[in-house]
Formats: sequence, structure tokens, C-alpha cells
Amino acid sequence: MIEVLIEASALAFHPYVLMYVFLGVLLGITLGAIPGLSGDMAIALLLPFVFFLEPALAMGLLVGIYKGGLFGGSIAAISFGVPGTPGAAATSIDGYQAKLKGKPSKALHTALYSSVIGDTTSDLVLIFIAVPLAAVALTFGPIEFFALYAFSLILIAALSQGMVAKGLAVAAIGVLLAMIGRDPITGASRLTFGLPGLSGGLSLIPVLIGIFAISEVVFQGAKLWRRKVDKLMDDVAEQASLLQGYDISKDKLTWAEFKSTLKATYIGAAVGTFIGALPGAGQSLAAFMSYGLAQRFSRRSEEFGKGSLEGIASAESGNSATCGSTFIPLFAFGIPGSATAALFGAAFILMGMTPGPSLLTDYTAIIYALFLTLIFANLVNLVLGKILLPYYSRIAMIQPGYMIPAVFILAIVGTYAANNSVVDVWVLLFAGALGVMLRLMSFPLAPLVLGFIIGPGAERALRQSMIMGGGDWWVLVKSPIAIGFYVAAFALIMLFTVVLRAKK
Amino acid sequence: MSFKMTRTAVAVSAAILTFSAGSALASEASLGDGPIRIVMPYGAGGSTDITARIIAANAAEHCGSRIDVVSMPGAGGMEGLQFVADAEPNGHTILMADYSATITQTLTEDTPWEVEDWVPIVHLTDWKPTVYVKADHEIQSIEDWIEKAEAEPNTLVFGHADPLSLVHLPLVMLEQETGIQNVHLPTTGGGETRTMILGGHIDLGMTLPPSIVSNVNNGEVTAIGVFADERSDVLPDVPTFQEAGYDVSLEAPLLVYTFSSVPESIQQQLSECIMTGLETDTAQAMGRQASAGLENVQGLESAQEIYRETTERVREVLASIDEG
Repeated sequence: MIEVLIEASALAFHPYVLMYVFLGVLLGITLGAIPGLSGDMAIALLLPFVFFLEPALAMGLLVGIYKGGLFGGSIAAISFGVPGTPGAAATSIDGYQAKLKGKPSKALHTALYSSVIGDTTSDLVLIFIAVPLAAVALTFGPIEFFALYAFSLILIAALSQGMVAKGLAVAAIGVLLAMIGRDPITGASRLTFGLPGLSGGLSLIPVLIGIFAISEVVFQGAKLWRRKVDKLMDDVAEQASLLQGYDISKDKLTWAEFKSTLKATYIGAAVGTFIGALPGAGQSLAAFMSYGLAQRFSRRSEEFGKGSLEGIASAESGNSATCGSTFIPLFAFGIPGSATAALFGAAFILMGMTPGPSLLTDYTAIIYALFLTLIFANLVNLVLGKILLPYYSRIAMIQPGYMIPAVFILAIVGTYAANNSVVDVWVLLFAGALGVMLRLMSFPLAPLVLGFIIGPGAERALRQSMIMGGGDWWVLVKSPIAIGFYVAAFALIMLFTVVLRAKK
Repeated sequence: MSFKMTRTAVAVSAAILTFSAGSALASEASLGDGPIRIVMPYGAGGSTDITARIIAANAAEHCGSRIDVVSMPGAGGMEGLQFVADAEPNGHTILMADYSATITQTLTEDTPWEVEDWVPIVHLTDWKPTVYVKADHEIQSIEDWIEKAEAEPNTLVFGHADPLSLVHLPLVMLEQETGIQNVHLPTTGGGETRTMILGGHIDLGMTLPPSIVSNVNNGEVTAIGVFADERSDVLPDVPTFQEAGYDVSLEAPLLVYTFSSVPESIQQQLSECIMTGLETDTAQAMGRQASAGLENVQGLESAQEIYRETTERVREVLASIDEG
């Protein structure tokens, strides 16, 4: 073990490797911060070059891009309310509110620290308990997945405090929107209204950005217009003074504030690591689930959705904590659990290493070097983030008059770039209109997005379970893991209702 | 004076006409400059993506310009095909796909093009759909499977990607040939099928050889049969279904296409420059490491031949199950 570590350190801490990690993180943060561009895209573009690089260098670069990208997504989410990557959607809920309250620096720093803590936790889990956790991941078949999705939906619907009915209603709208396109089992087109562009369903990015960012921009624009018409609008005047008088030295994250977010960060780290290890579950689900749990276990849960630092910490930590654990199924069985893991798998293949159980035994030194690089990249992320954040905070406080059109353009260009699709731009605009309507009627937006994210998985898992069980509904409670999830969901609802009643 | 002017004008216009006709001819004959886009109707990171990027990295200098790989998975891949069909027919926007997109979906869905509108120009490789099971499953051979399925019809759960995909059609053909019945379970793709096999949630699955080689070598899964005329290079111990006495084979060619409106001279030129690029040592080395099967890349004629054959077979299967 010691010899392997020494050999691996020699590889991982070679000056060139360090330089590539540094470059990677810088590139990743920058790309992640631009909505529609993501670390994944850069990794895909760099794939052919991986062939020409030493494995340690290539890994350093790709790991750097990946980690930088995950954190970078939160910069746009906080500064502009446009999630730079789908995983940062949950971060934008509280992050953008915190920025509107004149605390962009606090919000960004919270995101940075929780991201690094969540990520490091996940990497350590990957290094030390990958094999047992991988065995757990395999026990998740359609029946267990459906239970997990049902659990998340219940949790999130209950998240909308005081508006459980409205929460459930918009979650249902989200699930319905996700059903547009191809039937997952028969492959037939459904709910497309005969429009060929909808036959593949709505993509995640335009729906996310439309619901969150476009509707926000429209609201901001309306406020700005009102300020021009009537200069006496109180909140706008307050915000204007806030913008002009932005003093970054007063917007520092204090030690006490940092400590107050730690519980949320740990919740995120645990949830994110677990969800990341399950093939196919994804960063957005991890982020929203952490957010929901952190809110439920927070002492100041009423601040969630209004710029709570805990909300940012839980979402961002949950998002980043998928980073290490998403490699667990890849290393243990050669199964890519996410798009990023698939790209890393492709990179391994191009370097002549086939992902799978033999990877660790055949290429011990290089894999341990990768582990060290994973941890080291977190440090680089922390340092680079720390250096860059003051600038990003200032950018975040640009006058809304310039900001609104910029966000609008960013949202459209980003959406188009993500899939090279014009249909997606229309989806973005319609999702924006829907978001505006829902905001006007004061519906919460997060459950809609969560319904949209987990709807397809839940439907597929349910129908696969039914096919496997020959149409018998009892098949859903034939797995102990599934029963565990249903019991936990029931217990949580009971707990919350009882606790809430007791508080009153 | 005015007369003279007109004559000059006529001469000038004639010259311009000749000139532009000449240049039009020239541009028709050759590919010209500007980046070439390989549109791939799938997400990034899969085996098609790796192969496309190997082409981009190696064929660019032979085709005379940069090659970009564009991933367009929208609308079940149809958006990618639409993009190539709508592009200016100068050979700078080409498609790379297996037959699911160009043949199966064109036959089963309402598309603005026909199967014949896609002209294959390079035949990259043939994928051989392979049936596999978990190593400790009671079924360990084609014979075991058929026997068990005959004894207890509709109990064995068979995971395959999308319905009518290239890892589902061979199952349909085998069931027609033998009369056995299995429970068909659609999955999101090879990764999910493999998770379900390894976790013991389903009995059998179908995938393409490169994705399970390491699991087979490691003794976690057993590949029991290949739907191809010959055994797979990467899984040489696995028999074909023909060897077991069932005449079912449906290999999936991976092809590069232009739309039919692209002039034939350009099709020829593209085909040649991509082939030259893939024959270089670097491309071959990359292909070997990626198990992309690029050792025997074929040009226009072979590509069109295999495309016609595959179309016929897919048509037959679809007709027999009342689709398309």
C-alpha cells in the first residue's frame, strides 16, 4: 500500500500534472459559469487528445475540468439566477435571492466551501469504500428505483411549507411535462400534438433555465419598468441603493455564518455521495433532495427560498458530492453512472484501459494517482475560487438595466449551445412564460422542476417493475429496500406534521 | 454609343456567365474549404462518439479542412437527421449513425425522407448484437435458453435498449424462428441493461461486444450467443446463433452518410479522404485501444451494399410484426 502510494504520488504530483489540474479547474470554472456550456462538453472535445497524453496528465486535466465545472455552474446560478449546469438549479433558488439581498459574496463563498467539502467527502468514500457501496448500487433495480423516486417526490412536495397542495400540483405539472415525447416502454410518440420537434421530449436545460431564469428576468424587467414609471416604489428604491452602495468588504462570510451552514453541507455530502453512486440518478436529483432534507432539519427552515445560506450549502454540497461517487459503478463494474462518468470511461478506453473491475488491479499506480488528483483538484478549486470570487461578486452586482438583457441573451445562447437545437429555444421561452404564470399565482417552482427531473425515471421504473411482475402491483413491495423507502417517507411525513403541530 | 455599351455589356455578362458556370462546375467537382461537420444523433461519450472523434482527429488533413463532431440527440435523434437533410448539399454536413436512425425510424415513423435519401459513403464497422447472462445464472448457453423458454414461456425477462433498436430486432427475429416467448423489458441502454443483469434483476440482456468484454473476462457475466455470420473478434469463444442451428443474424453496420442531394463527386471525395485518414497508423492505434473495430473500413460500394441488405432485412422483420 505504502509503495503504491509513493509511486502514485510521484505520478500525481509531477509539476506538469499539477499544471494540467490547474488549467483544467480554471477552464472548468469558466465554462461552468456560462449557462449551456459545461465541463462535459469540454471533456468531450478533448477526448481525441487524451490519446496523445500521458494518462496522469490527461486525468489531471479532465478531473480539473469536471470539478471546476461543477462549482462554476453555481456562479451563474447565484449571480444571474441562470443555472450554469443542471446540477446548479437547486443552488439558484436561494443563491439568487441572496444576491438580490446584496450578499453575492457570501452566497458564492458558501457555495465554494460546501462544494469543496461535499466533493472531498465523496472522493474519500470512492477511495475507501467504493467496493461495498458498489454492491449496494447493484441491488437497485426498477422496484427499488421507483421507491427512491417516490420518496424524493413526497419529500419535495412536502418541502413547500404551508403550500403542500400547491407543491404537489406543480410537481404533477412537472411530471406531465416530462411525459411529452416518446413512451419509454413502447417507443410511441405521445402528447406531442403532432409537432415533430417534440417527439424527443422536452430537454432539461431549457425547462430549467426557462422556469427559473426567464421568469425571473421578466419579473425584474417589470420591476425596473415600474421604477421608471413610479420612482417611489419602496423595494426597488431599496434595491437600487443596495446596488450602488455595494461594498464587498461588508459582504464577507463570517466564521459564525460558515459554521451555521455546516449541518446543511454534511446532509448534502451524504445525500450526494449516495445518489451519485446510483447509476442514472444524477446531480440535479442529489441537489434537490439535499435541499429538501436540509430544509426539513434546519432550525431556520423559514428562510429557505429567501436567500438562505444553508439552502445554498445543501444544494451545492449535494451537487458536488456526486463527483467522486459517480465513478464507483464505473470502477467496480465498468458501468458509467452519469454522462460525465461515460466520458471518463471513453477517456480510459482511449488510453487503453478498459473500465471495470480489473482496472484497479491492472493499473494500480495510475488509479491511485487519479484518486490523489481528485483530492488535489479540490484544493485547486478552493484556491482558484477564492481568488476569482471577488470579481464574480462584483459582476453579479451590475445594474439590472444591463443585467436583464445580458441574462436573456445568455439564456438563449446557452440553451441553443447545449444541444444545438432551435426547438430547445422555443421550449425555453414557453417554460419562461409558464414560470411567470406560476409566480403570479404564487406557486413554488422547485417541485415542478423536480417532478420534471424524476418523472421519466419514475415512470420507466414503475412500468419496468410492472412488466417484470407480470402486471401485479404487489411487486412494488417485494423488495426490502423499497419497503424501507416507503416506511421512511411515511415516517418523515408523520414526523414533520407532528413536529409542525407541536411548534404551533 | 448606346449600342456599343450594350455589346460590351453582353460581352461582360457572357464572360461573367462563363466564369460563374466554370466556378459552379469547379465547386460541384470538389469539396472546397470550410469546416466539415459530422452530425451524430446520439449523446457524447458513447462508442459512436469515440469513433467520430477518431475520424475528426485523423481525416481532417486529408479532407482539407477542420472536422467538427456535433452531437444532436434531440427528438430521438431525428433532429440530427433533419439538420443534415436541411444543410446545403456541399458535403460539409454529414451524418454518422447505425441503421436504427436511418432505416428503422424512417420505416416506422412519419419522416420527411425515405430510406434511400441517405447515401452511405463509408462503412466503418459492424456491431454484433450479443446475448449475455450473469455468470451464476442457470442459463449458460443458447441451448439452455431455448429449452428453458420453451418449458416456461413468458417467464424469462430479457432486457434490451429501445424497442426495435439494434439490440431488440434480433430477439424478435429469434422468437419468430423458434417460437419461444420472453418478457421484453426496454431499458435506457447498454449501461442499464448491464446493471440489471449484474444485480440479478433480469435474466438475459442484449448489447454490443465492446461494452461487456471486461465483465466477460472477469467472470461476472457469460456471453452466450452472437447474432452475426461470424464470431466477434473481441469475444472469440462465443458461438453465433447460426452455429447453434438458428438461422438468425442481424449485424449492425456503423456508417457515414451524406444526404442524397450531395453531388456524387463530393460523396466519392469525402469517402476517400475519410478512408485515407482512418488507414493512418495513429487512427488504427486509436481504434484498437477503443475496440472501435476500424481494421477493415470499407468505401462507398461496400457501404451501399450493406445498407441495401440491412434495409431489406429490417423491412421483413417490421412487416412480420406489423410495424412500418
